[in-house]
Amino acid sequence: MPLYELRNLTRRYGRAAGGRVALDGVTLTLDKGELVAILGTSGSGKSTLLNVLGALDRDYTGEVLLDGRELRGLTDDAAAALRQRTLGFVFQGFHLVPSWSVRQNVALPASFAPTPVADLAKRIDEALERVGLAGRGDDLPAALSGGQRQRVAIARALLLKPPVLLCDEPTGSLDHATGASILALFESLHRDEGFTVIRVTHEERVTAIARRVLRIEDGRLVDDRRQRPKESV
Amino acid sequence: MRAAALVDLVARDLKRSLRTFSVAAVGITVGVATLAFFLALSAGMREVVLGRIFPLDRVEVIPPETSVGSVLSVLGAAPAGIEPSQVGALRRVPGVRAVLPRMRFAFPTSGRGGRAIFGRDVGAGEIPADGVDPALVRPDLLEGADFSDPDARSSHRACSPSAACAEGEYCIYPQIPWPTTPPQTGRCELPIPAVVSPYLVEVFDGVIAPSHHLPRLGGVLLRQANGLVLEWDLGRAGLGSARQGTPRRVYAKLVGISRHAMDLGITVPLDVARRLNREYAGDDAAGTFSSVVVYLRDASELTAVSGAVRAQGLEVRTSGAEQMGLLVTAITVILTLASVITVIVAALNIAHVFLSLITERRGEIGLMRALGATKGDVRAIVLGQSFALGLLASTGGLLLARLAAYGCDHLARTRLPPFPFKPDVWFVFSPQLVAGVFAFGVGACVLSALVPARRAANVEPASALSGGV
Ligand SMILES: Nc1ncnc2c1ncn2[C@@H]1O[C@H](COP(=O)(O)OP(=O)(O)OP(=O)(O)O)[C@@H](O)[C@H]1O
Ligand SMILES: [Mg+2]
Repeated sequence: MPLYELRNLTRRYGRAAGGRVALDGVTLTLDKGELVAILGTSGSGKSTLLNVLGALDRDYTGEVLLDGRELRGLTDDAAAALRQRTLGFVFQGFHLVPSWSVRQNVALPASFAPTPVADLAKRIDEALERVGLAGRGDDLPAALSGGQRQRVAIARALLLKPPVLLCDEPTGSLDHATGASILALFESLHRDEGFTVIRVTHEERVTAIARRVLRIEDGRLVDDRRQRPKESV
Repeated sequence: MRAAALVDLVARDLKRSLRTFSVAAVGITVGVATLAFFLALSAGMREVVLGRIFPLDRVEVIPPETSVGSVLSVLGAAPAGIEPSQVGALRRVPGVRAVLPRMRFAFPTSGRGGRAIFGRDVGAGEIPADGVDPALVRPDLLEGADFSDPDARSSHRACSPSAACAEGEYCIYPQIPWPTTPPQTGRCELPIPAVVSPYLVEVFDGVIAPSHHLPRLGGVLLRQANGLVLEWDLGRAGLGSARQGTPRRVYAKLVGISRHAMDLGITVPLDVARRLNREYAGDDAAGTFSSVVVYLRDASELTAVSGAVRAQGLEVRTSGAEQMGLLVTAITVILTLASVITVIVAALNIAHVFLSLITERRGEIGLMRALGATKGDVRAIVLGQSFALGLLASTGGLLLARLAAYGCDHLARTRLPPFPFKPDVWFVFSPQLVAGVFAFGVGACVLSALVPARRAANVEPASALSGGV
């Protein structure tokens, strides 16, 4: 069974007839263990798509199945539980709580776990080490650079090892080298730890590491191409 | 979400917004403080007014149309009395715990005394007096005092101005004023034991003693093992004399302060009242009671017992307790209302603070939802914050009220002049009051957060996240 099955997914903002169509009849299938890049210009509907995939936005028409379950049919609590168990998010904005330490920010997903997370401190250390921020746990987000904040957000997504990572990438605010190292991080998460990584980006170069590149324009899927990933970016 | 995680998040959020929240909580603290303060004050007042001035656990039963009779009795008129059989019937009324028949002196008396305590005699031209069953008074007596008719215990030895009585006895001459020739001879008798009411002591200590620069009686009497002895002229007073019998001077010794003593006057053993009434007012006055105090099992039985009393053709003397109770209640209601309004305004303010915090933190709420928080979790976090805020604010308010009450009590003790029934403690913080006010403060906080909590729970995660920082 594919991880995601999207059939004729349409997302309209505003009143049904005259509203802006952010996603327009998207049909596609995503498999487990894929490293997918979704490429599109600003305003093309990437974030909207990611929100639908993340069950954060269920106000769509068409069908979206995750592990065979239609997302719109879930209760609110079931959708929350699904996010808690299955999905890790990295948002376009980092969404760190400024007055919490890095560790506290990374620990946040554990607050919503139904049972206490065993070895939480160790998991936090591991996640921080994985993103290259070992030893920065007690800093406040304000003491970190933009790239480091992005890494904190990634560590937070990794904390409970959800099988699927959904990443909305603001690489625009990062310099080339920093962007490249974060790309490499995702690649290694995919390759070495088997995460399914679905990333959206407007940067062509980001697609280099992906095995599959989807291109959307004005909410429509215009290209779905599989490729052999390049070794480096 | 697990409770531990909730507590952790709530605590962290409170710490983060400490300043905002403390400003918001000040209103709750002040409201809770004033509420507790006024409720405790009125509870204190209620205790003084209804517990000590107008006890609610008893009614005084009097013969019909006695309001005139009791005044006349001072002047020597014989009032219609309550028959012993009627006392027995009262005792059998359901809801009655005990009955205390009183026999009023049906003839005038006057007296003076207290030189040993006051340095000079303090007198009264009219001393109302009555007699009660000694058993009721016994617990209130000074140690070693004997509250019974001293007639049987006295030596009755002959005495005269030149032949004094033995220690403890007084020479009682057959008449006053004393004829000078021939010199009188009297008989040695023990003084009549008497008790006075705490009300009288309060009035004396609060009004009479300060204005006449006399020591306060309450403390002195209790320390003075010997008691206070009064010269007591029977059958003769400023306003007239008894219709029969020969006026003479006896001695009364104050041996205790009792709630069962008459309010303004002195109370002696029933046998003494009976004997003296027979002597100075006739057999009728000695055979009936002037009033009966009926003690209720419970203050709530008041109406039922009053009805049963009237059914017997007797009357219940209204003590003013009900009116005073109503007055205290009215004042309490007004002050409580003011405090409650304070709390409500504060709660509205808290609601406002929460709403703006939620607007400010929409992104954060969206994040939590993305990380697996349910709507219920988000609601619980907001309500948890308001609950914690309520706990802190209410605790602070109650502490404040307690401190203010201590301060006021201290000021009243040290700065206010004495007056009748001046309480040592003006505030009563009962556990129910503390719990109730606490619950009210916490409840107001939580209620104020209900709407904000719902709004937070309904934040759309997707749109909240897109507006993020
Ligand atoms: N809440 C909303 N209400 C109305 N229109 C919206 C809303 N969110 C997005 N849109 C519109 O939907 C379209 C797609 O937006 P989306 O945020 O998905 O773009 P994007 O591809 O993520 O762009 P960017 O790369 O700049 O982040 C845009 O035209 C946007 O204006
Ligand atoms: Mg976007």
